Amino acid sequence: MTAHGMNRRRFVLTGATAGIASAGVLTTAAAHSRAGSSRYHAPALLGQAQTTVTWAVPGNPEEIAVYQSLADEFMAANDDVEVTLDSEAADFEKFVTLVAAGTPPDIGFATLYNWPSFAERGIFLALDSFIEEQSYDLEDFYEQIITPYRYNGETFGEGELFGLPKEIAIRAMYFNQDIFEAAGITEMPTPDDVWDWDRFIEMTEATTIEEGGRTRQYGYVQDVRWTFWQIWAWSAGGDPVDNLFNPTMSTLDNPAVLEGYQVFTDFVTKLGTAPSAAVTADQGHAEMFAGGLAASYNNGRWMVPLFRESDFRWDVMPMPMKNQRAQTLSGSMFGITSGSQNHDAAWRLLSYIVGAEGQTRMTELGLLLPSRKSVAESDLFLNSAPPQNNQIFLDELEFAKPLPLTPIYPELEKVINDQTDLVLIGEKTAAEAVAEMHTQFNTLLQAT
Amino acid sequence: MSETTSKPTAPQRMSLGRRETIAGYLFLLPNLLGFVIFTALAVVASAAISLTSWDLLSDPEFIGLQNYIDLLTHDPLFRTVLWNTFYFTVVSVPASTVIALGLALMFNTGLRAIPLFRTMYFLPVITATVVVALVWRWFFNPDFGILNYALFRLGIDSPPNWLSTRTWAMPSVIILSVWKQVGYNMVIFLAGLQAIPTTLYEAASIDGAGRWQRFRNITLPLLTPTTFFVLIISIIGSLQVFDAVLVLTGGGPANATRTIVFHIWEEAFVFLEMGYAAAVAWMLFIMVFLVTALQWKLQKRWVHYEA
Repeated sequence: MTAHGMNRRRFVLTGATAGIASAGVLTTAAAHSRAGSSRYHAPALLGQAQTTVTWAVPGNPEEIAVYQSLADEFMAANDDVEVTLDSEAADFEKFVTLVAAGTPPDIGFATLYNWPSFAERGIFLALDSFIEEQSYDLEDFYEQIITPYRYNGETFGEGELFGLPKEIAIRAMYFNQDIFEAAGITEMPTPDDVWDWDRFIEMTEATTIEEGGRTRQYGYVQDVRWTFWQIWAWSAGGDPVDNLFNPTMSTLDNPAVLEGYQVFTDFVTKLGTAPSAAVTADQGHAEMFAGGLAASYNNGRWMVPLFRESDFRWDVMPMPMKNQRAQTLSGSMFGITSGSQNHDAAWRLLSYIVGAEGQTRMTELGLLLPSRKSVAESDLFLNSAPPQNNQIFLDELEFAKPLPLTPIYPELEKVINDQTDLVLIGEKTAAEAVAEMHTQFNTLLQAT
Repeated sequence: MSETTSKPTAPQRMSLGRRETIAGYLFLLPNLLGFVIFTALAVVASAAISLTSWDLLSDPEFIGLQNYIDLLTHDPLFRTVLWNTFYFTVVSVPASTVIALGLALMFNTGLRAIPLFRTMYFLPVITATVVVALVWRWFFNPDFGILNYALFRLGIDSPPNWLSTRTWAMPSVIILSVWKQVGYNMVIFLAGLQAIPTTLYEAASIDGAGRWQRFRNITLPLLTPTTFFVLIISIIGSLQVFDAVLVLTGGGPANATRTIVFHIWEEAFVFLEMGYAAAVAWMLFIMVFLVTALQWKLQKRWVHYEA
């Protein structure tokens, strides 16, 4: 090769390398500043006084199909409004980016625990003036799921209302009737028969089957996140913070918290009646129960469509208790974004989609507990089997409390996940983990 | 076509050199525009953002170098992510380079089936990491995974709990990444191998050089520019490992696979600490820059451009 060729080759390599170095590293940065799509400002069609309202819709294709049908009906009755669904805008990262770009969807979506960080930043519009003006009836919504969406600038649960709940998320204990029977459990759980922890633990031991050093069937499978173990801590009497609606300090040092956390993690680390993270990471918790590999499983209403496809008999029972019944409240809401250009049209759509009609349609899919009493306490919800005992979801709601409502919820949750990881892989005891959570909670809460 | 362009001898025309220069820039323009808008501006913006406390949704607040001070002194996770990223890079880069070279040597023959094998090894490169990582999660399953099944058959009684232990989680990510990267490096090496003139091998054979001597004294030295390129892009790629981690382990267990870019992503899009995330991104840029500069400097000692 000639000297010239040499240089050219070297030049190409230099250029390519430098290009990759600079372009690659800063993709992250580039992603930050990428603007939202322009479709949020679709121009009005020739002469028509059309207002376009975009609506962030969460969920699977079946849910989105229901939302689309609601949107179609709304448009048929309101020919001055064009509704566009955007399923990506319901994603936290995408939503935040759209808001930052100044092009938020008119109707945004927030889970109960994303909502505080949106509240603090004024992303959603207070609905009170619309509600008063239209005498919109809030009575049909369960009070428990309306209250958390109130915010007065300092504390949650008080002040103006910023969202209307599309559902309530409550967790019950699913159980496999076939496995229970095979293990000789004669008295099937009923809505009135609340098991205590000991009885539940006995069941998990009786239904866990080992073969050749490996567990073939587990008595219990659990998601290990905070929403789940907090139920056990509450049942023992331990709140995580001083005020769930405006936390200022950790109360994780309450021995009752450890009592609940201990029993929860013992299923994996001591009793072996619940699978370790190694097993569930690949299999999925719900899939293990749906596959008939576990006798019981704690999760929300949204599991029902999946379990209806399984080939064994199953039902739900109340959460096992220690000193009192307990339940974690979750859920999600739709609200009008402050950055929306069409507040009035958005309100018309919002009040329609969380109405009884929309909730009835979602309830038919089987996957949610309606936020409206008229739908939840109807035959449609109570008699759609399995599960036979739908009433349990409504019973549990009475005991439900939210996890701390605070903009730093993601940080608190990370503290808990990291510590729980260490407990489940045997590098920390439950007591050490809870003590560390307590310290880190206080550091985070004091910094805000 | 206009009349002027059809008359190359028309008077008062730009000189050929000048026209070529303009044409050159025009060819560059589309790429250059993209670079300026989506990269250069973002780079400058991220430097500015790194000096602020900004949650993306409220107005940024200028805090000077506080983010950098915090990450160097207060963030216990920053040291963890540096170590994890270093660990990943130091193992995955040599592994993917050596294996790729081996494959390239194996496939640098005229056998008929070779294109098929090349394609097979290249397939992981063009497959989306998310898809690949999901499949590998099944491979890594301690009870039912194919990997532990194979290890068990080889006589290893208690094969590792790949993804759920702090010891094995990072090796799992490395295995996946090497498997995915190796095909790309192999193709680069193949191109390098084919550029080596066969006359050199013939001459060496006549002089009595054996296979090993030919490899040691012809192939390796003449492949050094290729190796250099592979090393640089692999190291840069490794320092930025992210999607494999996100899908395979989510940075866990207990942060054992949390890498720099994962840290940036979580700070930015989960905790909405854009300023802090930008500062970490700049630390990453500085690291990549230094490592690349060092490699550039050291190349004089081992890279041969004569062919």
